[in-house]
Amino acid sequence: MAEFFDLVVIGAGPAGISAALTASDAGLHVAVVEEHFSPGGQVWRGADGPAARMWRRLPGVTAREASRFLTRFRHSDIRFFSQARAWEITSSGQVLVTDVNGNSFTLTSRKIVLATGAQERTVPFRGWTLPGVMTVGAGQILLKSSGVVPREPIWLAGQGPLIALYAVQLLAAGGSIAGILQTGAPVSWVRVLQTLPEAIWQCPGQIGKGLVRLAKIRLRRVRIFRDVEKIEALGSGKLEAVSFTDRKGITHHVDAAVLMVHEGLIPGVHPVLAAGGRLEWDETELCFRPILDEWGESTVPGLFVAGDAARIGGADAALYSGALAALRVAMQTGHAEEKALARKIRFHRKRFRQAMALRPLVTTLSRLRLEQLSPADDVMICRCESVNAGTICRASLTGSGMPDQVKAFTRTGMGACQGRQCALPLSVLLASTHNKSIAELGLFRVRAPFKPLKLGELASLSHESDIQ
Amino acid sequence: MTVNFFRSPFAPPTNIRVMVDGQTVLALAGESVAAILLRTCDGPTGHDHAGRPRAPYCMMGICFECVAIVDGAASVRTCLIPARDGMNIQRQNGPYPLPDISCQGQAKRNG
Repeated sequence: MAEFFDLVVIGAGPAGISAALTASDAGLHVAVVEEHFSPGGQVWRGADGPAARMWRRLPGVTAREASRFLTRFRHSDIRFFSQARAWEITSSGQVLVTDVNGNSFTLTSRKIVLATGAQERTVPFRGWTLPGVMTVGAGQILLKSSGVVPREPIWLAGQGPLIALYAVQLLAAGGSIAGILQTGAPVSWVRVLQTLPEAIWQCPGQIGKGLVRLAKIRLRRVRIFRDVEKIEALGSGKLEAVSFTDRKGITHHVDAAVLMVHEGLIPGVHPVLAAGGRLEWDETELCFRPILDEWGESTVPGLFVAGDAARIGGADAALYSGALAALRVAMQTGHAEEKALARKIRFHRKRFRQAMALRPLVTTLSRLRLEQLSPADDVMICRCESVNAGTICRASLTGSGMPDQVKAFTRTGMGACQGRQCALPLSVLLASTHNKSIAELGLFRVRAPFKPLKLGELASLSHESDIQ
Repeated sequence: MTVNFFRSPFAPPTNIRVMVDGQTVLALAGESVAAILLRTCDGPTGHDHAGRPRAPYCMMGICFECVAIVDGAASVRTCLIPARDGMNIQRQNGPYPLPDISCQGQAKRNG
């Protein structure tokens, strides 16, 4: 059943929903493909879930906005494929998708918007594969979607605004926190003074919320350790303790049932890479991001990227960048004249700039400590294939030291996650081992299928041609 | 046995029963199956190819650490599956063994 659309959107978070609604309003025939069983992405995860009543009462949740967009989305005539994974984007604009029952089908589209969101930056450390260690984002999704909280003692480690957000949500949901280990690089107060005025001017509410969160954590007497280094998760069979070094160089050894780590968000670039889009290295954010024009169109004509998959900016920025991509698509497909859209374009551009104005301050206050990216030889870099840093370094010295070759030598990145977690740590490791810049190394090549596919699922594509 | 996750006092009451490795477990319709595994398993919800203990890491479909056998389907990312009454969940250890398919018919045809 090959179906034809003006626009196929991959991902139903704020960016995807906003792009789909904007395009649909302009008269385009739109489809949205979403891997999860409900729309809303990670930021609105829980809005439609069984714990929705609890979710609405959590601090930092934008319930009104979520329900406005999700209701509009549900009542639109957009084709919504939930629990469906898109795994290939062909050069002729076909999106290959497999549903939850393993049936594959083709969506043919004039334009495509990738709104696949962010992922948490992987920073490997000793013991990070032990049960009981997970990301802060994972903890937050557990809480929001299923009303589940970790058993004490729980430790949060890393840097970035998500840690404070999850901390206050967890406290509000009846959880407790043994301590927070801040791992970020020392803050440059000069940079803070440079970035603060614009942030206060454009996003005063956000800064206020941030300060309130920190105050709440203080009030609950949560222990906070700054400039923490050398975090290790210890235990046999599961996490039992965490050891770390504080700013004075003293090593602590604490009991732990759960350790949640977060080292900032980075755009998820696998789909755009697999489709042939090019990336650039972002030195301030310390991540790769797709090369895009002002509308979000990638180096592959007709393929747009919106929201956190394009550039980390949060839900508000995602709403506006999704809409801008859709407006451009509406113009390109002849559904609207630029003149008729001028006011909308101006509005979304202004709001997008406002939403992004907070980002320089955020990256100033929470920046990855680069030493964390050169782990000891025994630290596992590739979780899926269990390859450690030592194996990678040794293999890289016997050849060119390029990511693709090291992948072939060691199986790093050949596992189920397809290198989504180890691609960046691998390139960073190779860059420091071979004294190259990470920008020139890039990431290893990504090919379709960019989500794992069973042979039977691939074979089921042939039913399409049988039907036609 | 101590599990590392439990239901928040503010979570709605459980309303379905599922099976986890043959044990009946009370759950909430629509919660993720990975959440159920985390609440029922003492640590590992599965093991990797080398037999090392693993458990869900990202809860958003990236890490594949939460794969399990759900209603007979192997290597399912349980963080993306909503719990339904009567669901049968089995922990998965390493890659799921391929079914033993007889190739004799194929060999004859290729003769």
